Amino acid sequence: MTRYLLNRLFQAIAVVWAIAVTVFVLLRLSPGDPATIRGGLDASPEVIESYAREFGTDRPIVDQFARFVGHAFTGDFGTSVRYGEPVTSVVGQALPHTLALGATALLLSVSIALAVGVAAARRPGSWIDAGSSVLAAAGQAMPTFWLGLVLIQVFSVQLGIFPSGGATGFSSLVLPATAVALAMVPTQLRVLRSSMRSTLGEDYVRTARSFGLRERRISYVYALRNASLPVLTVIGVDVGYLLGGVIVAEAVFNYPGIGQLAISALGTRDYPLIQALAIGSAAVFVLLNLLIDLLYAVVDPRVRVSG
Amino acid sequence: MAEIASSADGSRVVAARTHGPALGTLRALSWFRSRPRTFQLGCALLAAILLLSFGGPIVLGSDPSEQNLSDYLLAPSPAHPFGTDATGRDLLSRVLHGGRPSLVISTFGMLGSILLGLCVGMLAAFGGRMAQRVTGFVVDVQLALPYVLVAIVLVSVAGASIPLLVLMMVLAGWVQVGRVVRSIALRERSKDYVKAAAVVGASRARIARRYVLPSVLPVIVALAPLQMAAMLVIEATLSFLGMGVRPPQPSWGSIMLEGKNYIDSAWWLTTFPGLAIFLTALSLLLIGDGFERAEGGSLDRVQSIAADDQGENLAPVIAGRVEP
Amino acid sequence: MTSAPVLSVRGLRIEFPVGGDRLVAARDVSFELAGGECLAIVGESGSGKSVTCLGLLGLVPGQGRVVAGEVIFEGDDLLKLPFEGLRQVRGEKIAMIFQDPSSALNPLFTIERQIRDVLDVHKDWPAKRKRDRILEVLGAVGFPDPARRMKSYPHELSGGLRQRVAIALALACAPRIVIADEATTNLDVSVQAQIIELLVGLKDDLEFSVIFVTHDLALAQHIADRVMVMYAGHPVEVGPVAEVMANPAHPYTVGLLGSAPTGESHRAHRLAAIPGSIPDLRTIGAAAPFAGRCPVRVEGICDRVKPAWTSCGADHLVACHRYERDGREGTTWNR
Repeated sequence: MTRYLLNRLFQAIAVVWAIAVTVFVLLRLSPGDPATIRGGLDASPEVIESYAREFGTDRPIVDQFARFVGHAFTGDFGTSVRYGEPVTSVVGQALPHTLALGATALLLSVSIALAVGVAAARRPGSWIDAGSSVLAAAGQAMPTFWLGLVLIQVFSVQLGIFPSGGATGFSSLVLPATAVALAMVPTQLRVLRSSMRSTLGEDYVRTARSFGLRERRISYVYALRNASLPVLTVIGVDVGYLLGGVIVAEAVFNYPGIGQLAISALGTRDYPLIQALAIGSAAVFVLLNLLIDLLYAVVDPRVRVSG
Repeated sequence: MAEIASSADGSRVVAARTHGPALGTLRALSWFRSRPRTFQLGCALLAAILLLSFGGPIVLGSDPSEQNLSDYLLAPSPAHPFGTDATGRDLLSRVLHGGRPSLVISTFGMLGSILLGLCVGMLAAFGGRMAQRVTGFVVDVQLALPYVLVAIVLVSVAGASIPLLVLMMVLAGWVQVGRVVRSIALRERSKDYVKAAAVVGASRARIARRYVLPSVLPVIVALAPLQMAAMLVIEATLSFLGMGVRPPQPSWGSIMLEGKNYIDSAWWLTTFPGLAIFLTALSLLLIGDGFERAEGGSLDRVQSIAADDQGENLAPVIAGRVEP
Repeated sequence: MTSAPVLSVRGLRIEFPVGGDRLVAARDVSFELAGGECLAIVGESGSGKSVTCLGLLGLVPGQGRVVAGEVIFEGDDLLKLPFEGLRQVRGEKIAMIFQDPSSALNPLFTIERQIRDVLDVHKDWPAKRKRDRILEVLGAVGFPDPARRMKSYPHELSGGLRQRVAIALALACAPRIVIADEATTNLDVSVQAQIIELLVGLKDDLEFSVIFVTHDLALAQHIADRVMVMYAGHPVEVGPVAEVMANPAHPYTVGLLGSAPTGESHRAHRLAAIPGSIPDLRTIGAAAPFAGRCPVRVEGICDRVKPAWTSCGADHLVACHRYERDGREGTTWNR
């Protein structure tokens, strides 16, 4: 198990490293130069050069990368071109908002998938089973941003229950989190429903039943624990999808998180910011997946001994 | 709703087109009749949408970019069933014109992502140890980056364009296909008759081509409509974020980008193009589900295939990732 | 051994819908089980023996239903009990041991937890007493070092140990009846002998009754007091095990015994000696179930009329037209 985790940790670092290199190289390939953009249209060559020195873009690319990595290890990702502040502090301000949104959305989607998926698997062919299929198809066919717009339309413009944007406490989290969650629900729901169905046919479920255990306990404790394993895998795979959904939702709801920063970096070639965001998102993916590996070992004792 | 009314004719068009002569048509028709209701509904819906998107603009003839400032932000009415936008353009005609770029671009995205996924998936299942490790690693890297972020990086580097949009969609979609292909190929490869072929000396490439590919292809066919639906959604999202099809050439996503500014006064600007995307994607999902059921599974199965790897290997495998 | 019956089953019929048809998996099954008695139900796979046992506790899988009959236990008809009442009988009064111990135990829970879950449902005891009980039953089934190893998971145990745990699970609430459904089939022969010995010992010590389901008549001889032979969903012969072994009356039982060289236990060999295979359960209808394969069938009767029970010895019943007509001489076809 330890060996396995070390191996995974090594893989994780390799992934983050590869993404850092790729993004770095890609950004340096682009035609626009941040110093020129920062300087504006009628800046003198001297001004541009001083900006280039400030950003470090006048050095050879390998040198730039070495400096970037060196600084990154000390927590310094450079200065945002657009905001003129250290990237760490720009991201630091936005990060809590994004984490809150991402966590709420994940929690919400898992709750929906669990509630609906288990109920559907327990009663195949019932209205809730059919309903779960409709929910899954609708969630897949509905772009997150449109769902966000519809939610704004209904709950904020028409009914005025929730704010249409910004980050003003929990009420401002409800709509964006719902939009993100509903996009995640279909996969989780489908995988859970099908694994739950096959688990409910297992011998040990029959054993539990033959010993008089209550149906609810059989479904929600005996079977669900086994059936949740594939769902854990899916959540791990979908972390990137979750982050993507969060970025989109932030754009729709003008929510001041990482996604807003990312979109704002679009027109300004804010290299340091984009780099930090890409690396950060890879780190989140990798960390969450390591966490899921550990969770796996907690849920399934058979994993603990092997590998 | 007019779309559903024409369903009966629309469905026959699709069924008949795939087979030419009379007998083939009959067979296709009876096959079609034996499909689940939802599949038939999906076909009818898709046929109607294709008809409207490709034929509608010709029949209607009105220019989607024709501005009439006196018709500024009119609510839906008999004259303008979907209402008008901020420059007085008729939204119905814009939505009809927006279908073509959305559908065409998504088709390219679908084909590209399936091709890439197929190649990588087969490589992961049949390549040497090195190839397996590399593909596993590439999948990890791809999964770790949200496609929106990839798009932001690429657009920052190269500027928004339609070829780039297609590339971004391919990058966003290939991993799903690759995972499924790899897992099916591995499963097929472990069957006895394939092993037997290996024993009598068939090469790895020959096994991949002659024995495994034929059982992967039907799954790909079932996957194609689902992939297409995903591509539609991604295309719309990227266009909505300003990284895809740019105004004035409308696609469903970019119409909604403009509409977003008037969300509190003109609900129709985002609702109708959104509905168009939703209905198209839904029709594709219904069709995909129908194909899957013909294979004896359901959408649950396609999505669970990757997660099913658990059964063979209890370590937390992320499908597509190759464990040493 | 001949006290009042703890369980009496009458006219049990279990059907499964198959397409538009109904497959009758158990037809007119009746038997009684005395206190402390061990009844073996013997038949090949598909004979309806397992589904009969599941039917007693309302556990028929899938779309299957018990459509007729009664199961009288402690004065109640289990088939008419409300679900809650039946649930309380399960595991507490009547417990089951299943065929495959590796899939019958939940892989994700320790064996301690699995036994305690059963106690939690049925016993309102303090935690300490439950713990003691767990140690007690694990000790009783010969589980080594229970205090420490009860924290293990099923995958950490050998097949034989797992089956001991399954027996401990069944004994946890001190049930009156234990149903062992092919409980030793999947085990190595040497382990099989140990488990049988264990079960017999426990039965005598703790005085519960056993329904022992098996396809192995020789095995039944070692453990059972009485035996009921089933074929294609029908009981065809029932009697004291020694009597049935010595004087089999039904041609099917005769075939089973005749094809079994004593002392040797190679099942495939044994059943291969009866030509043909189990008939389609949808098409038997009113015929004698074995008619299609029977070497001594009475033409014109066996394929039309279902035979009634005939007495053929002390406590020994058989359902066979040939026996009714010609006695034991007529059914002993392979000597």
